[in-house]
Amino acid sequence: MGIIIDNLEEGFVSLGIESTAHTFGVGVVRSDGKILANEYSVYRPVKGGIHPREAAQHHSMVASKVLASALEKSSLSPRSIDVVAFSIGPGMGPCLRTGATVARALALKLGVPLVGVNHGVAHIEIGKLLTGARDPLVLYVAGGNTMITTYLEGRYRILGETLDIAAGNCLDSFGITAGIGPMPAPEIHAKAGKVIHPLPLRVKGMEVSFSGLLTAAESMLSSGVPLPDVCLSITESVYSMLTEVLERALAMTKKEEVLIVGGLAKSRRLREMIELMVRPHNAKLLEISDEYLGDNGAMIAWTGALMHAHGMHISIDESRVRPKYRINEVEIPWGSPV
Amino acid sequence: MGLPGVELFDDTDFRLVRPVSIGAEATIYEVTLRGTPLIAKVRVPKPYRNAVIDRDVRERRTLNEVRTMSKAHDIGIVVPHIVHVDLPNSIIFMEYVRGTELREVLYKSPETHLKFAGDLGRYLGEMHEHGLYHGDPTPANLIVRDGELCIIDFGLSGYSDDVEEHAADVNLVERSVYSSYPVMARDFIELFWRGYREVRGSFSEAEVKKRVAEIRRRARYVMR
Repeated sequence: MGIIIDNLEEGFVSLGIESTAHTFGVGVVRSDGKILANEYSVYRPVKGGIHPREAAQHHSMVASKVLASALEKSSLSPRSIDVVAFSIGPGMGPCLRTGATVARALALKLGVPLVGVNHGVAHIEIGKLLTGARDPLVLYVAGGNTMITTYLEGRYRILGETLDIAAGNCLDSFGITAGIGPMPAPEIHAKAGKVIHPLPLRVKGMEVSFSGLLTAAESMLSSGVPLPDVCLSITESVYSMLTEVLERALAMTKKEEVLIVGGLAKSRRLREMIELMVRPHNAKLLEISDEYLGDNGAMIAWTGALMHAHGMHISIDESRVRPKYRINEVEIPWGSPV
Repeated sequence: MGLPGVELFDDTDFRLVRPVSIGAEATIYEVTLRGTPLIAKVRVPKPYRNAVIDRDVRERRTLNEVRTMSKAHDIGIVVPHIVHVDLPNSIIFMEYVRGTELREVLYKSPETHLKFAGDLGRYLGEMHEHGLYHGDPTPANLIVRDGELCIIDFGLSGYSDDVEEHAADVNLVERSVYSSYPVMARDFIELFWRGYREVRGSFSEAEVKKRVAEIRRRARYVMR
């Protein structure tokens, strides 16, 4: 799969910068879909969750190093870059601004166009590129986002989403409160769990809500239930809810391909559940390697390439970051399934 | 595809007649109990779910549905009578409401929309006034029998005084009426609100109306 556009027959190279949360990543992708480099550095807080300002400081410290190593991996000189893309949102303001600053400087220096990429769209596009999916139903689950989406008439439409916190946020917060740290720690501890205690599963149509579940799990822990059992109960509950709403969406849309993208998609147990769920619906769960499930620069570079091919450039003046940018605000001229 | 839950009727007095619909959440069967036709709503086990969670979820939801249905019945809403509940297997046996979907009735005889729009407004008004919401009041869940409106499928219903839940109900009514009955939708909605106001008064009506508009502004409702 690559981009076939009449006026860009020559092919081009796109460099993408990801910096929405804890990852600063730089990817280099060719317009035929070949990923030449995908380098990143992840900010890991010593204690607690991600502090946006501290993450941004980390990003600005590693930026030049990650950029240099991505270019080195791609064996290209900076002059070969035809377009610079960056994640413009959604995400944490200070983190987004760091990536945007690097992108602007690079685009100006190289004299190439700038593209502002929606982070959620990028997760989907890299998934489609790597799996060859044409018209998938997508579950996007991460630390900051939880939604079910699919392409319809020029945009990714949101069929259902979380009404409060993201699924990943729920598990990260629980892990941090319990003193074991964010995901995948809760899932690792769950392996030693023996007894499952039911928690409130708040599902409404295709929407989910995790805040009540988090509170209930935390009070379960403080009431003396062993940590592995609580980890098992909360992970099983969260994944059950996600699988349930995805099944409802699958029954409604009758799609044949299912993609799970975002950091939480790395969970083996979640994949296993969804695999079981899709079978009777004659749908297929497509596999993406872990490297491209979490936040990465390659996904920004590839989506940037798609946008570049459709002339979706922005000027420096228009490149202000959009921390609340929603996926369904983006026009997807390349999206129509064949 | 096999029929989930069929074996559950094996050792009972219920006889399976036919599957009516297979959904993501439950399978609906027509059954008979000593000759009387009934509906059996079976919340089938989900193989992907851990058995403890699966059982808990199905039991809770079955119980919730039975409770809200009987509460709705108590406040004068026409709902299917509950005949029997098999909680361990998560099955609700209820009256088989034989009638016509509201959408079809409206299509065939548009003049009747006056009555049913008002009835629906009063029904939802009563439910909301009593802290109850239906969760899915679409045309497929509204059946006309002997000139009377009956609401089915309380699978997504619950208790709440939150205007958000009430507005979500009304939003679904408006959207579904506009999509399946565009010609007279405007009239229908106006009469719906008149019925709703009769029960709840103009203050609540305005509050819910405002929230419906707000829900619609949220981009995520583009498709549904």
